[in-house]
Amino acid sequence: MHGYALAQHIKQISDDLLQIEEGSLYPALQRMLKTGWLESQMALSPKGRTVRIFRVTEAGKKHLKKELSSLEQMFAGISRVLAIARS
Amino acid sequence: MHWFKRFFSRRRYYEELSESIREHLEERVEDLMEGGMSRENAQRAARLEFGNVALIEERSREVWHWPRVESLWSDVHFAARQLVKNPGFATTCITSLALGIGAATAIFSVIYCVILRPLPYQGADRMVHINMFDHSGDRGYAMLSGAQFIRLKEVSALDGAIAEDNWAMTTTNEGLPQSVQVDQLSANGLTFLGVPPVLGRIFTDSDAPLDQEPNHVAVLGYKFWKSRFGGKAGVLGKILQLDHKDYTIIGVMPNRFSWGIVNGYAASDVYLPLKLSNDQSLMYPITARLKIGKEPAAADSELEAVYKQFARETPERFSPNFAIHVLSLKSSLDSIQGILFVLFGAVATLLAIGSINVGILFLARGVSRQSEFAVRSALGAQRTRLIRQLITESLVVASAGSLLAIPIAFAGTNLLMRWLPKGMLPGDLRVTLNIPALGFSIVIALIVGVCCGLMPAIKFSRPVASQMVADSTRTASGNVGSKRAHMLLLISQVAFAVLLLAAALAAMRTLMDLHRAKLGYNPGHILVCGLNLMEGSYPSWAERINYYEQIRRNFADLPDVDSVSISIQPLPPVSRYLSDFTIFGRSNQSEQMTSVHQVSQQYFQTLQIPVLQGRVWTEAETLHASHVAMINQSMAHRFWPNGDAIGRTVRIPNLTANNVWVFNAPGDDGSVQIIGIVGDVPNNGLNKEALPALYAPYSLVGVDWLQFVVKTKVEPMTLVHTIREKLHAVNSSQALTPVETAGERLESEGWAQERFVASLFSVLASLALLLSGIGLYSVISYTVSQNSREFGIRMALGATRTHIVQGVALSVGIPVALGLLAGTLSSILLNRIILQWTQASISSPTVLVAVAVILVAVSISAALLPSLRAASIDPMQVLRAE
Repeated sequence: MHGYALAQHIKQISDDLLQIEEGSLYPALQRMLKTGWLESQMALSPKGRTVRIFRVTEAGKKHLKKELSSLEQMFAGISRVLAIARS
Repeated sequence: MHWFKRFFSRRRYYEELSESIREHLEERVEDLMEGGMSRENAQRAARLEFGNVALIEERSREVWHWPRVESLWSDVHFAARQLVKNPGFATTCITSLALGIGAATAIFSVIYCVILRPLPYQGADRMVHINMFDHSGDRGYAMLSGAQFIRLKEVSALDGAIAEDNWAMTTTNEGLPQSVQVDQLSANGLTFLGVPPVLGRIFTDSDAPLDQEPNHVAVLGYKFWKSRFGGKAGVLGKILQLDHKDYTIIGVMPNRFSWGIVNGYAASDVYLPLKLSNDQSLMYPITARLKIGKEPAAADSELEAVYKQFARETPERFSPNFAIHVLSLKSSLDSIQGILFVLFGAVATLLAIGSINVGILFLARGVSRQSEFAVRSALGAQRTRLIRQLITESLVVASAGSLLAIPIAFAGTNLLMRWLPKGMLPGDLRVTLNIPALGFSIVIALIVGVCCGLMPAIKFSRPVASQMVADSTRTASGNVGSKRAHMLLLISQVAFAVLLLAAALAAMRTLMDLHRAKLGYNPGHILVCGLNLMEGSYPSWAERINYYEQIRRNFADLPDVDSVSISIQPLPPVSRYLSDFTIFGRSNQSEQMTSVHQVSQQYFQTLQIPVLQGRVWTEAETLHASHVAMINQSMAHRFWPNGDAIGRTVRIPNLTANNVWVFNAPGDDGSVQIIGIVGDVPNNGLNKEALPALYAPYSLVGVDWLQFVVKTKVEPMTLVHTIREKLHAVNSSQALTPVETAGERLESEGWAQERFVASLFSVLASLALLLSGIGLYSVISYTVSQNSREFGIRMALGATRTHIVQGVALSVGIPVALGLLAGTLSSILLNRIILQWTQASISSPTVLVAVAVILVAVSISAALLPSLRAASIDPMQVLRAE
């Protein structure tokens, strides 16, 4: 996915709840490129223009998994605490 | 090398990033335009939505940066630019450091090669000579017979030992007979020393089985291999004939192998396996290696027990009440260790002067840059950032100095090599630059660099706001603190220079004293050449004396020869051959020693040694080996203070044959009657009083080695060929040992070392003077340029040029005077310590006055130019600039 599409995509699927500022998107992308979680190459956009797209690498997927699981644990923890607070 | 690749592909990443952002914007514009916006509006909206493109791009780029490295790089860059902008400052700092480091490294390299150079032998630091001290404290090798040597294996403190026999032999198969120094080593010898040969193999135990004649094999020394066989590899398997016996050459030792126990450092020419004889009269000096962790004292007591046992078995071979001490191979260097220590001090002092120069300059520059720092810190520069930059600057200077020091060190080492007196360097070894020493000096330079940077950094990186305002209109004329620091640095610099100068002058004075010392003999036009008899030749006393006299007369017949004499001991200034003796009719004093000289009666005439009393023995008395002797003045004064020496009889054990290779004259029992007194001639080195000495006819013992002392009418070396011909007329297979002149001997044994030390000190002192001169000059120039406004105003208010010059002179004069005082005081204090090692007194008034004069002259010349510049300031111009 390329930069613009990525920003739009996040906006759409989160129903505009999450908005990625371009000011943090691009530095974040560069950081991920540098650590090797992403790789970039030229490709055609859905609109038919050649754009630079970013693809998650194997290392990136592995890291994502790790982040996801820790995020899930955190959510689980939060919801438990909230559940107690509600009851 | 991932980061390395990344560093170089950074530009590509940047381009890709800009591309992505551009695409992003274009796509957004398109989307907006699809929603019905005009292009212009869409572009504006897209940009507004996106935010600051340049900033986002910059932030994204920063991901790829190395902030530390890059700011360091920019610091280095800035420092380099600063230095280029201030060429005077840069040159002075860099040269000061480079000269200091270069000289220190060169001198250390020489010292290391000459003195500290580790010996190439296996476990050399544990190797010892076994020495025997007799009741009078006189030292000699604790020699053992073959059978006794084998029993040394039982000594648990030792990790092996070798016996050896060093003697000259003559080549007899090809060309002119040549005298070669042969080291016969017990079969384990070369294995024990543990240096692999460059060619072939070394001999081992199997080459000399016990109680059998050893194989006739020879291992060559490197120099001999080069000189006699042209360094050809084909030498292996060839036959070398020595004293008419054939030896097969089996190997060649490397150049660094310079074993030769008798010659000290000089390598032997040939190494042969030694036949360990059970004959109790054949005894060999022993070299051993202590076991790891064994203290020499422990070895001493264990060895002494063993030697006492030997002494009980063959009491006639051991002196009564002896003590055994092992002495490390390096103990022979003890005598020069003092001078070494002093030299180290001198080198360190020079390095200190160079470093102080850099410190002074950095401090001065720090003062003049105060306003720059103030502005920078007002603009938000952190204090650490300023300090870091200053340290970087000083490190850049230090690194540049170190780089420049490398060629200086190389050149200096080569130069010193050329000055090095002959004989101070073992073998043909070349002095090479000592890389660790260079590294060490560079580390010192870098540390100095950091300190020089830190000092002004800490001082000036916290500028006071008011100062900043003031400084923008007024260049700082230096605050009190920095002036005090300057003063201290200058004083210590001058003090160090005083110390070095004093040392140099003292060393020169010692040298001059040596040159002026009364020699007591005339070394001019004297040629000395020795000869060794082949083993077993001329096997009686009479044959030998006949042979020697025949050669002597043959030499004396030459028209260009004045006189020829024979001497067994070496020529002055170092010729001691100490022996105890007894005076007939008098009880023995302890420590009653004399230096024995076995000579022919012409010796006194040849060397022009004055006869003060009595007479010299006659030629007939030489031929008959009469029991007569001459003594020197010291001996007469010491033992016969009433002047009644002549006519007394003394007995000297060393005047009898003490091994199987030499023969006593008929009736010789070592007793001689004193018939005359001659003047003192140095026999214990030029700088020491002559020891008591006794001269007796050489013919008392039919020796197998001696030397001819030839007084020539022409340049002595031109006669070498003729003399060799005359020798071969008597015996065509007789070789001569290397020839030298008495002058050469005087130079190498007497003056060379002192001259070397004096020149080293002079070089160090000149460099020190130069550096301190530069230091003074830069401080004064800096002060003048900083105070030019003050001078201008003072002149406008009526000060004359003389007043200005006086002011400048005073600002130099005070630190110079204080430095002189401090240096003089430390010279006097240090003198006591230095005197323990050398004789040069650095506190003698003449030396100190000379030092003061030189330093004042240097200071005046350093101050001259800047003071003139101060005096030539035009007050109008200064005031207009205000």
